[in-house]
Amino acid sequence: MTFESVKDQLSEIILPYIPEGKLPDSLDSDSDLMEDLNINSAHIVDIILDIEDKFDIEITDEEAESMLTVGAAVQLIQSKQ
Amino acid sequence: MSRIFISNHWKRYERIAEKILSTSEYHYWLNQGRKKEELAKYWVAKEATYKLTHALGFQKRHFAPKSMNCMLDESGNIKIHHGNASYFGKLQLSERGVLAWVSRESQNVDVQHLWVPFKAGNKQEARKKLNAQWIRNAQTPDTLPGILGRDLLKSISSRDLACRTYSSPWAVLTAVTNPAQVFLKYSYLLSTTFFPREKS
Repeated sequence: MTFESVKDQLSEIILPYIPEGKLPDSLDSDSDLMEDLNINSAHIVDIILDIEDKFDIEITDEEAESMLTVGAAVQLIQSKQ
Repeated sequence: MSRIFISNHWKRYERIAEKILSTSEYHYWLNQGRKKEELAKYWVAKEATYKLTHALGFQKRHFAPKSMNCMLDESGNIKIHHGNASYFGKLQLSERGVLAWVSRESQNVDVQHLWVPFKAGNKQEARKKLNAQWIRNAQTPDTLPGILGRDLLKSISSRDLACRTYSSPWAVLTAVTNPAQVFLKYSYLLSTTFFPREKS
């Protein structure tokens, strides 16, 4: 899967957890899940579970630690495909 | 149908436990009968400590690591050793929610971290109350035990508690303080902690 295609699917996953209820106009790879998208720490756990379900992968604690931005999350998913 | 529903919910929080608990915490939780309440205690205690370490600039990650090993006794005493630091605190539970106080050893800095459930389907009301009682009035952390002890919520009957407390939206309030002042506080609504997102 291409970077953009994974990013689109990831956007669908994270959308319900954004407090504003919508994605920012420019969701770029550097967007920080917590600082830019205002997703709280407990919901990051939900997102990780949803990613595992959607892409049929497993994300370890160490990998979750590195998943700070949209781009990092996409790359992590791609590396497990 | 309902059995599948319950089964899916069970799997969800079982997986959350696997994501957030250290090996020893996980085994302790299994021995305690895998109760949601016990999982919530660990989560709140660990998240409180994570918020404190994050505020102090020690960590760049998104939630409390599994390696942050938390010891909880039956009286609610919290003891955590993480990195080169020790943390201790207390967990206070009531039918209205869970509050953790955690201090870093040898430093005058502490965190209060409160989770309070709201009735499902009442998120607007929850946000209003949260803003009124916490953000707009610039309340001090002293408010947190008050919220836990009094009435941020309409009262929840103990009969409802079991199904509501761990499935409805939570208000999460955090204050990190030094002796002089609150230097970080934030709040949010948490709607999907233990269960899949409700359809609005």
